[in-house]
Amino acid sequence: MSDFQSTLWTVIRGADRGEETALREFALKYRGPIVSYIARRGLPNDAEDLAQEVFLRLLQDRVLAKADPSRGRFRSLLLAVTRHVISHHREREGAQKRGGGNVRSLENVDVSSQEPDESFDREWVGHLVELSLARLAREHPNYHEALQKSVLEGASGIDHNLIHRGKKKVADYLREQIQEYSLSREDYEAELQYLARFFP
Amino acid sequence: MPDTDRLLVLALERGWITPEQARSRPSLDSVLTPDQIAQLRAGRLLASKMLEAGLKLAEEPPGKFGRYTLIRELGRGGGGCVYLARDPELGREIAIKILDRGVAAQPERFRREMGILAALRHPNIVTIFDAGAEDGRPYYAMEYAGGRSLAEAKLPLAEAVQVLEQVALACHAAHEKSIVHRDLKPANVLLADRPLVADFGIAKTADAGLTETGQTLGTPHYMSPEQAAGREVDARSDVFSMGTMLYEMMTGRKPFTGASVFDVAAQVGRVDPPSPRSIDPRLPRDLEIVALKAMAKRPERRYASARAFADDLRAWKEGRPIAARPPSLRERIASRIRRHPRISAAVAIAVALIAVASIFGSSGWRERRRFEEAQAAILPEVARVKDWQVNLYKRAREMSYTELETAVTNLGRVLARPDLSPVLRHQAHSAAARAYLHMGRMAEARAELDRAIEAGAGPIGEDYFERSRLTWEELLREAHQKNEAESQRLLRKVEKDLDAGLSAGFLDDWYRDFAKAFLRLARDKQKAVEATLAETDRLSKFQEKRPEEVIKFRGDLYLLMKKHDEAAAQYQSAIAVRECYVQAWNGLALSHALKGRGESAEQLQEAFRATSKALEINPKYEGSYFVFALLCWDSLKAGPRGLRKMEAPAFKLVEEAVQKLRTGSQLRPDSLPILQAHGTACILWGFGLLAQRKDPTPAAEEAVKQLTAAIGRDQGRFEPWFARGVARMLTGNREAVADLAEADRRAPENAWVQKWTGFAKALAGDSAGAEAAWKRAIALDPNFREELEAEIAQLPKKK
Repeated sequence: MSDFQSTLWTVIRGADRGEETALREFALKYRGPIVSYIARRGLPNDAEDLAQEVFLRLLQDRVLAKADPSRGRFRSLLLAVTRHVISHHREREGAQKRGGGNVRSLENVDVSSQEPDESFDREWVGHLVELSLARLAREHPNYHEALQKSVLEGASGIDHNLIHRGKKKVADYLREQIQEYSLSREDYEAELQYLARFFP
Repeated sequence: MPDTDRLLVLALERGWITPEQARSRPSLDSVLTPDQIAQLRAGRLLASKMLEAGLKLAEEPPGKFGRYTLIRELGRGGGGCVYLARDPELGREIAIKILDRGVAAQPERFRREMGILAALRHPNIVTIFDAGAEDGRPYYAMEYAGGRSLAEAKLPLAEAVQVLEQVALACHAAHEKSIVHRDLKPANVLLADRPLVADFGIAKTADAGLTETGQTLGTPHYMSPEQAAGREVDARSDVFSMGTMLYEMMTGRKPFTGASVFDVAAQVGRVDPPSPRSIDPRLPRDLEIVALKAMAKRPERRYASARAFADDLRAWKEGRPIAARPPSLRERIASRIRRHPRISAAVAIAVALIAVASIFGSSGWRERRRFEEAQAAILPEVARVKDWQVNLYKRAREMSYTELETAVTNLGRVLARPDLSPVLRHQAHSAAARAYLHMGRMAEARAELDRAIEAGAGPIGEDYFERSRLTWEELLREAHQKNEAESQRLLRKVEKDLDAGLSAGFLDDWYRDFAKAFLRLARDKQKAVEATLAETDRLSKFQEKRPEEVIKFRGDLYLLMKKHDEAAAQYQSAIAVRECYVQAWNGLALSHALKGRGESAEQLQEAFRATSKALEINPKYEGSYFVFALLCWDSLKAGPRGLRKMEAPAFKLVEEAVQKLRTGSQLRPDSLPILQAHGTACILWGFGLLAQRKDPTPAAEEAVKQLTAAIGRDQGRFEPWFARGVARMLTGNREAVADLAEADRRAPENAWVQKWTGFAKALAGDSAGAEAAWKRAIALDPNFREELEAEIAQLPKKK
């Protein structure tokens, strides 16, 4: 086992022991972009349930090890599993209409060959920034206020230092977050590099 | 709806809701206020804007920048970062300042103005080699001098004067080319093999070329009044900055100090710093005259040029007579009038007389005319604010809550006017603060005082004084918590405000006397407490006006000296003078609690009685709730076993108190201290119910509800998390451990948190975790050893 510590590891170990608290917390935190993605694929009513299924599947079928770390293992995997769950859902619906149904395992899905999806990645990054800003609001309300005033309200005369430190904190939190869902140092570095493209 | 989902997660991240709340997917408005929802939406918008604008994700590794090779970071600030770099073309080391991306509005203008600065060559000015933008990021490359800056060096006075003389001559050379430095400060004077002035003219160029708004607020400590006020500046502005540097080199302190940059900026234009020789009488008188002349508020009273300033520095150094003269009495009074428009009539008449005596071109007379004209223009507004203010100063104590509320609303309306003069703005904030003080709304009172002081256009001494008293009450509570570091910090805050108050000037003598007595305590600590006590006897004027406050202050001092009986006696006499003196009742409660140290049930009950009385007198005064929460805290020291043995009379007291607290939170559902007190009291109530063999669930639920709201309002402190964890233990809720972990994260060295974490873990069946937490608690506070070792022995062994 890696000595790399992250929430994702905690989730995996918890799942090994049959505990789901950590997974639920984790899913809660990251399901937003998944729900949006599923909703955009024309399944707004089932989006929340399917998103939940995505996280369960992620662990049950032990697919984490199969993903390609160079493309950001966790995120691209989430997308792959989501796509799988969506298509499976559609198949099931069709099968039900035909009067039967079978459950397809993820075993047969090649999760590493999935095409990236720019809009999903962008949304993902957006979600991470939102989370980081919320944390900033909690831990450094003055920085948050300064950012809000200068960026949203276009106010002038705000202490540049506050803005600078606020931005720096947000970047720190973002990195921490990426680390939280990485499985190894290489994973983390790769994801960092991959997501950097969204920050012009 | 996907949107709801995202907002709930963000609310969770902000600590406004709990994980279980988020998981149950409630509708937003059932768990969040409309304001919170709006804030979350604004947060999402901010995220998308920031994503557009770009954010550096990776830590910037030193590397290439244009043709330069970055070696290491030298410093940061002022909208950019300075690196030591190598210029491979010329094969030398340079310093390069790279300004933050995204602010370059007019790169061409930036380049052009930098070109002018680059043409500035002087042996004592850092040369600029190159400027431009690389990859959208403006930069300029300059001579790398190495060495320390004047800010880091402590030079003997004669040497410092010599450095400053060279700085002044360098400035003069630049002034002759119409370049003003605008940001002269010790950090910008480098001591290489010779003194070097850095960042010449950058302040303006960077503003003009980089931002559209032109607002860069750097350190205001050395800024001239005209610059602080945003007016046009010339060479004499730099002379002022050098004057403040001289002042600092002489006295070892900055002439203008304040809690925030705004405080300082306000003082620069308004307050005369104490003369250097009043700080250290051994300082040379002539040099003091030079410094004060350079620092004159009005540019025309300063040296006309940096060269003239340099000449006087040299004259002093060589023992020749200096050109500057000390200001005359008339000049000093005139400048006082200008800065204190509310000055007494007597002084105004005196000035008028002086004006008549020197009728030709007397500036004092002109100033007064100008002041009167200005006042007349806004007279109706003045009359109204004045009226309210006088009312609030004199009558606030007798006014009802509703009356006070009306006053605050009226003042708010006046304050909304954009054309309000700073003087009126100050008065309105100051009056609003009085109202809030009497309404018991401490946070708002403090905020208004902050604004009044920030507006800083009047006699703000009283505002500093009131603010110091708010801090003082906080300090008393911290003393109860035995939090030494926090007490020291608060004491310094009190001290700072009183210092600022004293130098800003008080209208009333007794304010000043009282401030001095306070300061003596703050400075000399315990040794001088007795002396301070004696001094309070001499505060005769204060004694006449508010005898009970002097008595209460003596009580406070005894409390800090840990003489609890004496303290209680003082508080009781204060109450005898004025029965509805809420602060004295709270003081009495604290003195009982401290005497009992949370172990004597009798003392604790006395304490509860006193603070209940305070709540009865004014259910809206937040200070009482703070004290109440502290007492509940004390009770928690008994631990779960002790609490389950609560006796009937104590239980009755707690039950009654909860009733009162419910009233409080209905009156002020937004008040953090009330939420906390209510929540914590419900915990005690819950343990009481257990002791009576009743179901504690309703109490626990009420507690969790209040404390969750408290967490939503203030996530920084550990107390609400701690309390909620304890509340959850009442019903065996497993989240208790998580809450206590949050508390631990916020207060990592707290033995109490560890102790209760142990109980929570034991309750959850985690014996190993419980043992670890208790061992840690014992390590942090050996007093727990006996009790907790017994607990450890009782833990079920190994699963």
